[in-house]
Amino acid sequence: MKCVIQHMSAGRMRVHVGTSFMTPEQACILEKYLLGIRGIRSARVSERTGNVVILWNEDSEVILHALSVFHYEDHEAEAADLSGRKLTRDFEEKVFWHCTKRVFKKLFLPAAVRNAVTVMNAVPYVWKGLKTLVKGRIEVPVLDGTTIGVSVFTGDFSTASSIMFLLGLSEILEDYTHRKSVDDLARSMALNIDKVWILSASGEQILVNVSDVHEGDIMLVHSSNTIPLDGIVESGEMTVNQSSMTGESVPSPKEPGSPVYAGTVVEEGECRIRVTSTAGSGRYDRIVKMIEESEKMKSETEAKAIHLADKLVPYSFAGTIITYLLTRNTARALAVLMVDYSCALKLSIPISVLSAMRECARHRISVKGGQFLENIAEAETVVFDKTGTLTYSRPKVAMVVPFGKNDENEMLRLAACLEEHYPHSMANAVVAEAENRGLMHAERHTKVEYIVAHGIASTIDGKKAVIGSWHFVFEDEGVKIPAREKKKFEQIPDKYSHLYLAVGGKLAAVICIEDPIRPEAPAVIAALKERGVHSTVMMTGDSSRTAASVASLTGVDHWQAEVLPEDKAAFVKKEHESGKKVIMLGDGINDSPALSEADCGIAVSDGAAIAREIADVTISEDNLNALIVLKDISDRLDQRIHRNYRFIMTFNTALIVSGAAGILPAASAAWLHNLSTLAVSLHSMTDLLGENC
Amino acid sequence: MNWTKTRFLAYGFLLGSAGLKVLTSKDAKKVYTKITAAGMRCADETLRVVDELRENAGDIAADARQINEDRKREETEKVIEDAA
Repeated sequence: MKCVIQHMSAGRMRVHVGTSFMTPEQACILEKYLLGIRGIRSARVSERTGNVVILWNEDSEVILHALSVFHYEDHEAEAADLSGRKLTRDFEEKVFWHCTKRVFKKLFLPAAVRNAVTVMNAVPYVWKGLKTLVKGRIEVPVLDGTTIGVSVFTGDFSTASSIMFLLGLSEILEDYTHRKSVDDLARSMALNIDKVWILSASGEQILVNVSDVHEGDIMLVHSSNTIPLDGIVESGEMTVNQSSMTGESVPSPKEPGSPVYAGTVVEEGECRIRVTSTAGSGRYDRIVKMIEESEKMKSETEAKAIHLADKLVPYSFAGTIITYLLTRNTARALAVLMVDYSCALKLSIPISVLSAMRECARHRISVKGGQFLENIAEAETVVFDKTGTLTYSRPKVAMVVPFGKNDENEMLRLAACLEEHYPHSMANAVVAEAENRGLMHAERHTKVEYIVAHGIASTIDGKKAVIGSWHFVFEDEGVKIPAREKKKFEQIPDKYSHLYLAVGGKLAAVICIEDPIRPEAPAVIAALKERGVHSTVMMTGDSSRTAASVASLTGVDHWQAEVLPEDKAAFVKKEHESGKKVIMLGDGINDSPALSEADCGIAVSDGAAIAREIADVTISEDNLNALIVLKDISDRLDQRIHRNYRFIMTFNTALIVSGAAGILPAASAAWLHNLSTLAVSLHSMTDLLGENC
Repeated sequence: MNWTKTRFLAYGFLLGSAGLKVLTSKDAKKVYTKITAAGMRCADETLRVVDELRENAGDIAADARQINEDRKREETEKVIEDAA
């Protein structure tokens, strides 16, 4: 595509794309395309100017090339992205027309007509105030209705219209922020699965792309799978976690005839499901509805501020009456009436929280509610899972040590056959290595049983096959090491994580997996400590050896090894009892009890679907630094809310005092009050972190 | 004779009979449509200018940051030279 560089500086370029008109759809396509290119940190396309602003890291040549080979026809826009862009366009147009109408009114309409229009506009506000009053609640609508009504009544049409203008603008602002936040959140929670097991016509199980599935196909799901499409259960029994649909964290049991929904996660059991709908957009709409209905969006501070705002309204009225009694001056009394804390609080604090959530989304962190940002700011303890969190979630098989007369590759093939159904990161490593070595297999085993944090058991050719940790294979299952090979066993290097495979009660192979820690982990832990996290804890189901070395490398304060999932949750509970707030980071199924117990459960995106369902925050960056970004945003949000609160209180009190003392005319007081409210709200929408993060 | 009152009476009469018909005729509607379309174009153009202003502000900020970084680098280089 023909592009012209408008401006270039280190790490930032602005390019005009194409020669003619750009539609919103095209802008979405371009943005998505650019964000997928390595070396591009961020790309923002404005369809109005036809320009894209790209922030880049490595090499501008790559980017220039990417732009030159780009064509709109080659790519497709994502529906959800488009809805977000349309929301912003609507918002901008609404603001424009709102301001234009006012300018038009003031400049062009003759006075009589203008006043008539003002009176007409005032009616809804007054009416709403009356209705709230009739219900017995003296709240913000009553205040607004009174100020506007009184202004109109005393003939001060200009004040009335300016109040309504600013109130209208604030409403547009709040509505937009709320909708955009819901849209961003829903988009990040939307479905990302691409493959599913289907029962073919001949009764075989085959793995297909989700997009190739038809209505009426039978799909197979078992524990920890995410259900990719809506359907009805044909056979089998299972419990499903539907928290992303309904908000309930208690698993819901399913049996033949029960409906299941796309995006929910199977906790236990397995089923065959007949697909009823292949469309994907239903889930997005459902998430939006769920978010709107849940109370989780509001944080405690927000709720308290709003409650306070409502309680202050009667005092505003009281203040007005007292001023009138003391000064016998209607104008000054009115000035007190026009300045209230309530609408400023009610507007700016939710906007701050929602904007912070959206900023997190821009850093590819998905936060499911304002309450969690508040908890992160207050948290003093952070608990880490080891595998997949402090270490990469893609460990690699270092070597396979066969025992008995078994062949190395055969054992690897067998292990992959068992491990491929479960999304533990060790399992992924085994499956990946088998694929690398070109070892394909048919499904030779019978029903596979997954024992959380221990391993997998199944039957192959009549013999019991198990694969898993030391504790599971040797202690629980009582597997024996072939006598002559004890030395071989002891010589297996300690620095690897070991996965033991046994067939028929005898050790068949030991798979050595190396699990390197993420290079940024020590720096992240140090940064957390700088930010007031007094205790960093690592808890893992892995052996003490590996845990000890990882702990010393990363610098965590405490660590525990060979921990069962219930123990993780129990630890979190203990911290709660001593009054501390706890953040938990994990990625696997065995982290889910602890994740739901924690004040803020964070899931790393490469991990198990169920961890992501239950978690309150999902980090999508393949990098732990997102944790620091999250903590910074939470801390600064906390500071911003308190600063807003202080500003609103002091500024408005000053206005009230000036108005009551007669220094400031009522109209100016109203104007300054509404303007400051708008200013605080607009400021609350700005980023908490700088652009260079 | 009170010309003002008569004038207004005349206007009202005109408005009521022929005027209203003209104002709501199909031709008038075409004019309104054209005006509205022009208004929307005006809105789009204004919003485009706003976007452009924002982009230009970004350019200026980026360049300014660059200047400051260059200055800082020169300063540190000078210091190293003196110590060397």
